[in-house]
Amino acid sequence: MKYVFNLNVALLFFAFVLITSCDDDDENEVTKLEATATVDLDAVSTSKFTLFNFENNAVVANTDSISTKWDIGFRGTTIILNGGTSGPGLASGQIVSGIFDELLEAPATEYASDSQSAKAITGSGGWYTYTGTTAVPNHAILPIAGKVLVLKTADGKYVKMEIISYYKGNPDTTTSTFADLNTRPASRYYTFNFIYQPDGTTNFETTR
Amino acid sequence: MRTTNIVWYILVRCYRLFLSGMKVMAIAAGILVCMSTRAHAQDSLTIKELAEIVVTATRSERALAELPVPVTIIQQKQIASMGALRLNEVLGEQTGLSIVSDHGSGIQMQGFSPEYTLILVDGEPLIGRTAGTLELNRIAVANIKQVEIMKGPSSSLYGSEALAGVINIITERPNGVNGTVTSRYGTNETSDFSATLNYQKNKLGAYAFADRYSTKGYDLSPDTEGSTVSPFTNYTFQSKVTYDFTNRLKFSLSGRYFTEEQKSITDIGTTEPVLLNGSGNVDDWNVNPVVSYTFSEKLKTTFRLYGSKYSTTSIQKYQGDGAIYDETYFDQTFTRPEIQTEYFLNAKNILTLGFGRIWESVEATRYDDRMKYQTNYVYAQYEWQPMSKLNLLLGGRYDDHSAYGSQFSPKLSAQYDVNSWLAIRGSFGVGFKAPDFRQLYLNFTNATVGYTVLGSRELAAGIARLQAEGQIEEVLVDPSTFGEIKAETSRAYNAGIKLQPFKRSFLTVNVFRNDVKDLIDTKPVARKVNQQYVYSYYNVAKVYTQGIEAEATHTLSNRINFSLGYQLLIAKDKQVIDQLKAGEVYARDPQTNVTRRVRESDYGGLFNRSRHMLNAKVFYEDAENGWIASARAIYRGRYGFADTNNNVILDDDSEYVEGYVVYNVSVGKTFLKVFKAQAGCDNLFNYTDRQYIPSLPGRLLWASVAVTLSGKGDSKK
Repeated sequence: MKYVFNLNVALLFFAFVLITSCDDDDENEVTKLEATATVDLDAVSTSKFTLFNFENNAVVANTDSISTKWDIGFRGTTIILNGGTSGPGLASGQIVSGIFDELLEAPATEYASDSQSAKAITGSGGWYTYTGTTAVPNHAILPIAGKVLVLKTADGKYVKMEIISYYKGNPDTTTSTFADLNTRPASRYYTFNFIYQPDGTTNFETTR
Repeated sequence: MRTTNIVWYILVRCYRLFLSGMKVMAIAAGILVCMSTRAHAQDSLTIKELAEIVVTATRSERALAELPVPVTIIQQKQIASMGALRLNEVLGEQTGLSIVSDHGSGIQMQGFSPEYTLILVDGEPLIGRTAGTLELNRIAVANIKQVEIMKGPSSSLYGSEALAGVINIITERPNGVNGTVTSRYGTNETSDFSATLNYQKNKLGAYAFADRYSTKGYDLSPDTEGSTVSPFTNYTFQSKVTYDFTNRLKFSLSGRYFTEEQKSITDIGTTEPVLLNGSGNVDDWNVNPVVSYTFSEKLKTTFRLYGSKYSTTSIQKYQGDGAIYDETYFDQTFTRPEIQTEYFLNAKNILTLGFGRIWESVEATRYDDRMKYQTNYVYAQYEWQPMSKLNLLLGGRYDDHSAYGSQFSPKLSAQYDVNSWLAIRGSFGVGFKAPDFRQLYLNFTNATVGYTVLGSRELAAGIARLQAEGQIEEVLVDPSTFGEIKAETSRAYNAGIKLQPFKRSFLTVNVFRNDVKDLIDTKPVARKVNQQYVYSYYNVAKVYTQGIEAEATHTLSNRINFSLGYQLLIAKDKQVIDQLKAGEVYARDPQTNVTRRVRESDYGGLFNRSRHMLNAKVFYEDAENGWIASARAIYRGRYGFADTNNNVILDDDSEYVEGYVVYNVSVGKTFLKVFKAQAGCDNLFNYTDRQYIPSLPGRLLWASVAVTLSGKGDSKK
């Protein structure tokens, strides 16, 4: 008797768990966040920033520069965020050391927005190294491995981003073709991976 | 612990390998000796080694065999047989040394950059370094009696810079009455003319040497403007006069003057060629009077005065309109009086005391003013033989520097003769390198790129000035946290054996470890409005270098000398190791773009250091018939060139330069004791690597003739 009773309790409990979890699925579907790859984003202009929106994975026209339609802007090696002195939005950011895939949670603090004295995202020594005259390849802008840009968008959503290349076609930078300035692909073309979290949380694994 | 085990394992393996090699060699030697029909006077190498005199280890003449510190001697005979003209050619073939290029060809010793090896001529330091490198090509070797190489720190005797070791060039002394004229011509229109004059009679000795060296240089990239090495011509004059007033009072005066002129063409255009005509001059002179007085058999005092000046000027003009693009000058002076007294208590106890003062100054385009500093120093050394088989050498030196503080450098060395064929030795020493002028006083802004470098003494004022001028956008680090710059110091441990398994065979093995701290590095202090940085110097890095060096020589029937040398080297940055252990170093695969964590085992250590270096040499001499010949193979194992996967450290295969071997051969013949003809080929198989080793020219053929005329004079040793 006792055994049957126990089994019944267990079955009841099991059914309850099943039902409640089914309810969860119906109301808040959890989807895994996948990285988006953006290839050869043109930042060639020396006067205008190329403005970009993470949610739509799309370039925003410069006529919308005084709006919150864009999150991040690129011009050469300079990166601006739509906030602070750069725009009307709430965007801010920081550079975190680590591996892109391993960064599962955005840090709670330490975000900076662009100011008169400095951009939130430091260029040389921040996300890239300029190799100068002595190194091979020379005069190259090479993104530093293990630097993840953690950003808040213009409307305060979290994004993590890793810059892969500054050259058109994301070339292998260890080859002699790249080392030779005559055969090196054009610069000011960004290739990067990012994960945009639309639900406003700091989680970079899943979204509701 | 693990490293130590590996070191011992390799040591034991090397020793076993050597013993088996020696057996084969011994049998071969036996056969050769039996077959040899001529009988030769057999002078023992032991006696020869005893007779070899070294001054570097103690600053006085000592027999090499009795010294507890390892010193390598390269004698004139060997230099002449190689056909070497400049010091870099000689040093580049020695075990454990490699020639590295950074603003000139300098010497890398026990894994240290050129700035940590002191280069002396007759015990007095050569000055004039560019970015820490003393250009070895400045030193002609035709008038050298021997080169002494002492590895491990010797700041206990020599003060600053003797952190990795000391190379002492001992020039010829007046000997007999004779004169020699030599002329040589080779590939790249390289020509060399030299003349020496010797006079020694009674109390007066005189020696004079003159050399003219010129080369067209070479170009490994003919498709670009300018040459890899531009044409240059230099002259060296050196003389020495000795006079013995009495048996007790002796005087010598030596002087040296070197001058070089180089012409170059550079292309600074980015799209269209913009050509610059450049010309550079180097002038270097020194003078060195020495008086020694022997009070008694037990007491001897030497007074040395040394003055040296090194200057360079360079100017670059646009080829088009002749306008000046860049003009620089650099003047450095060094003056040092020193008194040294040796007290021989008895044969087993020798005490040496010395003191002196150094005045140094530099004036250059990159400095605000004429910068000066002084060093007062005192040193003591005690050579002690407590037992017949045990030799000890204890020394210490105290340097008081006007700009950065004081430094005490002790050293203790010991040698124990286990039996007639085996000796063990070991040493512990502290070496240091004082911050140099640029690290203290540099005030330089790059005209084309716009960055600024400030010496630690200029930092606060320099930042304040740039701020007042509105050039600073953001101060990144509070300049006061940089603090007073300290000397770079190293603690070094050396242990080894000297083995003579057969009468004509020698083996030396030395294990070394250097722990270096306070290495001076640069880091950005502030960002300028032009987005460039202001850099300054600070003490940060801790590195170690360790390894094993082994050298074996064997002589066959007095004519053929074989030698084999090997060095294993591991040189790493301790902070990088800590970062690797903490998993904070990353790399990106260039094909897959995946960023990964770098493992500690991937770390290749400091750049530009070969883990393995090997040399094999054969020298042949037939004194009766006047033949000399040599064949040498020098292997430099693969080494890191530069970071390519953007994590600053050496960890990827693409960051290495392949190992390579250079083969050099020479042959010479003396006729009638007056004429000598010699020819040779350096880099026989024409190994070049224009991208990574531009300092290595291709195959070089050369031939020389020399005439020596002798008169009646006194031979003086």
